[in-house]
Amino acid sequence: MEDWGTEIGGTKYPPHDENDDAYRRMKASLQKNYSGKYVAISGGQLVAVAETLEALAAVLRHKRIMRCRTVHVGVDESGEGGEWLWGSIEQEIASTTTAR
Amino acid sequence: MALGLYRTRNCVDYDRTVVPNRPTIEVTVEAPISRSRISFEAPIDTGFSGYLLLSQEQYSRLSESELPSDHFLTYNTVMGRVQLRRSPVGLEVNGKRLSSFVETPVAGLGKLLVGRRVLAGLRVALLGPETKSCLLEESSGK
Repeated sequence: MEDWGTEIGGTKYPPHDENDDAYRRMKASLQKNYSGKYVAISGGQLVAVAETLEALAAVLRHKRIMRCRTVHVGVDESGEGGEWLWGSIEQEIASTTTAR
Repeated sequence: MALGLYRTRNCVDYDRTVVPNRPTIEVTVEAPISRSRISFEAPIDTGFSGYLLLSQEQYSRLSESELPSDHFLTYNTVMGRVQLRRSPVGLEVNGKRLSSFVETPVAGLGKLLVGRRVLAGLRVALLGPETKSCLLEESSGK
C-alpha cells in the first residue's frame, strides 16, 4: 500500500508534492484572478481553469492529464471538519490515524 | 409537524456481519477525469461529519483530482485529531447525482463510511425491525 505521508521526528505530516507546493505559491494570485472557478495544477503549473468540475475534467482529459491537484478557488473548505465519534472508529484505526 | 408522505425506494439489508446489524446505503462513486466508477455498500455513520470515507486503497483509485493539502479537513475524535485527504468525485445514490468528496486518513488505514455531509443531501429511512435502510422519495399521497 502506498504511504502518502511524511514522517519527520516521529510526527506524520501531509504529503508535499510539487503541485501542493505550487498551489501554496499561487494561492494569492488564484484568489485574485480565479475566485469561484475550478483550477487544476499539474507538473507544478496551472494547467486548466473552468467554471465547473465537469468542464475542468474535460480539459484535463483532452490534455491527457489523469492526476492533478484541483481546487474550487475561494469555495473549498479548509481547517476543522467536525467530528468522527467513537461509533465507527475502532482501536486499530484510532491508533494509526490520530495526529500526535 | 407533518413533513409529508414518502415512498421507500431501493431498500438494502443492513450489514449482518456485525452485531447489532449496521445500516448501509448503495453508493456509486465516479472519478471526475477517467469517469471510472466503483460501487459500494457503505455503512451509514451519523457520528462522522465528513463525506464518503474510504480505505487508502479505494481512495487511491478514485482521487484523480485531489485537493491541495491546505484543504484537507481535520476531525476531532475521542482519540485525538485526524486529518483526512480529500478529493472531489461524483456520487450516484438511487439515480440521484451529487457532487461530493471522498476522504481517507493522511496516516492510517481508513475504512468505508458515509458521513453527514453526504447524508444531508439524501432522504434515508432506517427500518430497524426489518433491518433495512431505504431511500425515500416524495409520494403524491394517493
